[in-house]
Amino acid sequence: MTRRTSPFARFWKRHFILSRLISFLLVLLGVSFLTFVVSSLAPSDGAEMYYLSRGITPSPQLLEETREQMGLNQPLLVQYLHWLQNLLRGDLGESYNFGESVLRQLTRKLPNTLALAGAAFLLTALLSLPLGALAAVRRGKVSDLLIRAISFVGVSVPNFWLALLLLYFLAVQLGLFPVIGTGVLKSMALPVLTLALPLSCSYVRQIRTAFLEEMGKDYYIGLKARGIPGWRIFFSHLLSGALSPIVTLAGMSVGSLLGGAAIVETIFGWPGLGSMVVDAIRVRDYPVIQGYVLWMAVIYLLAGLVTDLVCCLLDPRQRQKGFWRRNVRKEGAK
Amino acid sequence: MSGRNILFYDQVTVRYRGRTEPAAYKLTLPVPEKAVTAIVGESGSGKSTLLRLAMGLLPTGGEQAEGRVLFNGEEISTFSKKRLREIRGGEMAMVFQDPGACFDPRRKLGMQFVESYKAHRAGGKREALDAAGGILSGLGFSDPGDLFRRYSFELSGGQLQRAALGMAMMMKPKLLLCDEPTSALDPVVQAEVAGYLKDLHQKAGTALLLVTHNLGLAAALGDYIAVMEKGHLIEYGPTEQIIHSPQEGYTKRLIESVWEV
Repeated sequence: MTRRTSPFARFWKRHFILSRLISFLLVLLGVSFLTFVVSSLAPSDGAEMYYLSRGITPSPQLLEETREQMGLNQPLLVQYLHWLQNLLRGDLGESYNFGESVLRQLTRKLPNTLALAGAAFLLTALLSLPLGALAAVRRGKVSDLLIRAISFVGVSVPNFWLALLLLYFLAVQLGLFPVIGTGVLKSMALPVLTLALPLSCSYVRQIRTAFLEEMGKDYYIGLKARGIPGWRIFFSHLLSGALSPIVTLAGMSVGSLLGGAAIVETIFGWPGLGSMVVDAIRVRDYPVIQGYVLWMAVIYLLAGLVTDLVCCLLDPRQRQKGFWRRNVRKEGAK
Repeated sequence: MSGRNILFYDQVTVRYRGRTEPAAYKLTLPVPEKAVTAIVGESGSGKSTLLRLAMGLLPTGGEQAEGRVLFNGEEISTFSKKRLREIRGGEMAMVFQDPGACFDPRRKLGMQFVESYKAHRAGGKREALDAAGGILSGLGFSDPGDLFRRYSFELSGGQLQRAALGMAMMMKPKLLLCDEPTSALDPVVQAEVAGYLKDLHQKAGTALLLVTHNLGLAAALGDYIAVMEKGHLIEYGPTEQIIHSPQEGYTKRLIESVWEV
């Protein structure tokens, strides 16, 4: 028996990639609207902030004129469409605080955040993949218990505290690293460690679980019964099976890392997106906040999209049906 | 049929952590060369445990508490990891109840045949596929090349179980362990797979140790039948003798239940 489905639903099911792209754009539109509406609900408006941030207390008449100038008296929807139009041209408005274009400010801070996020992510992968796999393979042995105990502690340590500990021991006591930035690589070490250590600890646990789940499947015993060497079972079978939960995990962290780590960036005085938005929030610099929220939305959605695509490619059932189409069909062998 | 035993369980006791009753208790069972030995009994009677024990692949928490298992006269528990790996799949192969268990769903079947071959023989892809193709064409696959390009999820249960048989027999093992090889299949396919099993055994002279709750299958294939109940071997003998003049009440009930069906 087949259930009746609308042509639309069928299209949605089959054209996996296309449907993901369309929903990506729709969600983005929704996020932009929400961002705009929420920041326009705030008690102080743009005109007021514009003057206050320059140390001027504006007269009511001046405020009214500026509101007229900035289009703040128009209906909300008109304002939104106007804002959206500018957005599509790449104009995110001007920072009240610095008078600089928001896009310029974002692109200026972005490389710093990218460097920090990239390094932290790489270090996390290098630490957690081998350790997680080792813990799974040596389940119940001393090495497994040790790795799990350390990672448990690591997960529980708050970011800012770890940052301060690292600063105190590695920078102040031992003098290995500068407390505050001199030279790119050296000053990056501590923030990268602060970000990567707790992340690695939670990764180790989840990677261990992913491998154990793979080892619990029937085919694992089958491979052993066939006399396949252990290293081959690991690299050629377990790894590809454990990869999709790991990719999903990584996709989520990429989002949060690329948003800039506000606390860590602030503690180490790292000029990235995180510390930028903390400053912007402090002075109610709405255009900057809006720009940041949009960026976060784009990054999270993109990471999700890429994760889905990669997982889809990792699954032979999906791969075989072609990259663009999703088709549920079963064929027999001759 | 007299001769050497390819596998011999000598006073074996197996326990699982957290369970008071042993899965096998002081069990002695010979598995003669070039013959079919069938172990019958209800599920949970410890049949599968015996096979996993012979493979050195007891489920987690399982432990051999007493006795020896001899493969070709040598005690399995004294084998090094390397020797154990060589024996598994090479001299002693196994077929599982779930026909999908043999294959990784993420790899094409051809690659998995090659992998198995290379684990035991010094040869390339060509030799591996030739060896696999030879066995598979005897198992009802008219075009093994087509099979090699497929994933396990594309095959039916019967096809997969035949492919698993091919995989197990490719290395011409001395002993094939079958854990309920037909019970996950529908009746027509069951008969087909049973036929192939018999065929393989007769052609290659491989000894079979067959675990099943299906007394009909055991009677059709087995030279010897062993009856297990709750970890104990309660009756053992040539098939004729067990079927026609069972001594134990449990065996009689098993036989009667077949006729009822």
